[in-house]
Amino acid sequence: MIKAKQITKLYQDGTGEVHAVDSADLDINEGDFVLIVGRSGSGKSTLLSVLGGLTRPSSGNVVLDERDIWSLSDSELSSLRANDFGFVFQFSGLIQTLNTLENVMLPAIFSTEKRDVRKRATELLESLGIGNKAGSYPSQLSGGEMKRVAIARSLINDPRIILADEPTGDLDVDTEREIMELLRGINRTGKTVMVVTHNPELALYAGRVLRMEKGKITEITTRGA
Amino acid sequence: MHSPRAVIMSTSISFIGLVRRSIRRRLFRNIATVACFAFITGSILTAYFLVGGAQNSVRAGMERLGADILVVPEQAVQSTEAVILTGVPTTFVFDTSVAAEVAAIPGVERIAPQVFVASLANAPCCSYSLQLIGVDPLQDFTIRPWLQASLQKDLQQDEVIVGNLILGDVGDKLEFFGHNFTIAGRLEATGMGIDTAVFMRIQDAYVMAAESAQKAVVKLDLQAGQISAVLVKISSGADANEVQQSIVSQIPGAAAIVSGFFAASVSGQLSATTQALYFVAFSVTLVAVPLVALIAIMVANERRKEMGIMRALGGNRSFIFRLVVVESMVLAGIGASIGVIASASGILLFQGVVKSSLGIPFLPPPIQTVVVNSAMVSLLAITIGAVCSLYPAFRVSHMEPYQAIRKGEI
Repeated sequence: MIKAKQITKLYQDGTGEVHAVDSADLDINEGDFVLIVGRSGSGKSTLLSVLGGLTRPSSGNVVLDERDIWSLSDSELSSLRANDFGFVFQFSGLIQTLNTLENVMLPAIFSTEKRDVRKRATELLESLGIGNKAGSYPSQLSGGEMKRVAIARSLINDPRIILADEPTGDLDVDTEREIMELLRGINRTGKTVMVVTHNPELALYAGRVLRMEKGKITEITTRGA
Repeated sequence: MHSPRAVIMSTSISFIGLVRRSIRRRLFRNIATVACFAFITGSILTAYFLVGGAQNSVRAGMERLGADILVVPEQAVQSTEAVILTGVPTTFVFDTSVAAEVAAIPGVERIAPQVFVASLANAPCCSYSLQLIGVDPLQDFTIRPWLQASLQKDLQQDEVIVGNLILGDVGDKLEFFGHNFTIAGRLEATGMGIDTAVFMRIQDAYVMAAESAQKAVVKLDLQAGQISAVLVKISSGADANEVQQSIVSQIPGAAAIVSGFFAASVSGQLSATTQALYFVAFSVTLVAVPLVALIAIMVANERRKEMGIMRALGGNRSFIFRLVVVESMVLAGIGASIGVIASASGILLFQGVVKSSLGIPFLPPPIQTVVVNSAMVSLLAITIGAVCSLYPAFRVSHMEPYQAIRKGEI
């Protein structure tokens, strides 16, 4: 489904070039639950961004369904992000000027497939246990609630692939477990889920675990989900 | 790969909805931008309203007079200007023979002698002095055409036509120098001195003057046959300036004022004020444009994360670019609307103060002109808003989503 070939991402900093991701190869199948684990600065978030079409690799390519996503035009790539990917960001990434329901509905503007968005957003919020927060603004939500809203938003366009960058960062253990259970539940509906985390204990939720160090994938572990 | 399905149903949030929510939820931050545009629009429009109002007033006043040239005694030019423009009452006379001399000048088609008399300040009708103007019903072309069109009759003995600002209804009595008159009609507003003038037949003015020694507290010094001014309509094809020169050179002691003189005089009186206003508008624009551009850059920087997230969720560069530009244009539009409303209502509410403090006639410009000019100035403000946002919009829309989100978090 997703094949990443020799992905390298270089950054310039004060000391010269930094290999955020260094020659990473990756093959992800439909329905996988993949966990990318590593320390801060190991390049796991950058790799996820390259796979999700958020940052262009310095070299290498990402093939989704036989098409190199980095050869697409801006409009085509934007459309791909809107329709095929659902993103959950590290710091929830909710738009402060929109309330919970509007945040969840937002990606539907960019989708080529229109549905009864309000109804679907309301159902998603209900299913994630935050239906009563529909009118609240991000500043009025707890960390766990914000993550749930972000998950609901990632599902609004019914994408095939969910990419979550540190979805449990800054959360207490109970909320962390709830969020990971939600992601596992999403995976069980047939969607591919990729989660980036610095917490190796979350490996028990994933079918495959990729360990990253200094931009390189150093270990791939496969287990029964 | 995703295959679009043609199931079109309603979305509950739109592009315009995003713009509206963003502006509404960041009201305080947007105040500076809105204030800049309100000030730019307000100062430009105030200058326009002042000039336009004064010119409109002069135009309306001159149309009412219907004269191309006004012949008055040499020493009465300033007081004539005061009578015509702002209605400061005055009395002056010169001999009736001047009328015949003016009529004989080549290029003069018609003449209409008039008498200017200032009423007493304590007249029973009014608590202040009014300009009384005696017109010759046989020769007049200023009031008579209006009378015939509006009232289908000539001015009768002891009847008066009052300016728009004179109190009293048609049929009411007015008393000047002990002589009773009846209001026969009311003229439309001009914003000029005519609004506070009372027109009567020249014969009645002479009778009023003759009776004043017995009936009034102060005798009116006006002899039958004396006139104050001769209004001149020139022949078609004649040059007003040439006729004016002929009058001045051929009639000693007479001054001839062409109608354009009043407009020029008003423009002269206003020039300092309008120049100051245009200077303020120009200075504000000069300062505000980079300020608004700077604010737009700061806002775009502040919103990098938000824009990055929208890009990540599927927004393309064009969407982000449009979002930033349209938001800026809407803010400029709001500022312009506030400027238009403040300027128009300020001028309309305080037109009396404007008139007296600047010493100019004032008649609000026609509503269509106000609307067109307001729209043009608003369009200018919106264009400035759009131009100021182009660079930040381009920058933020061309950032990679991942970089925009990360930099926005710093």
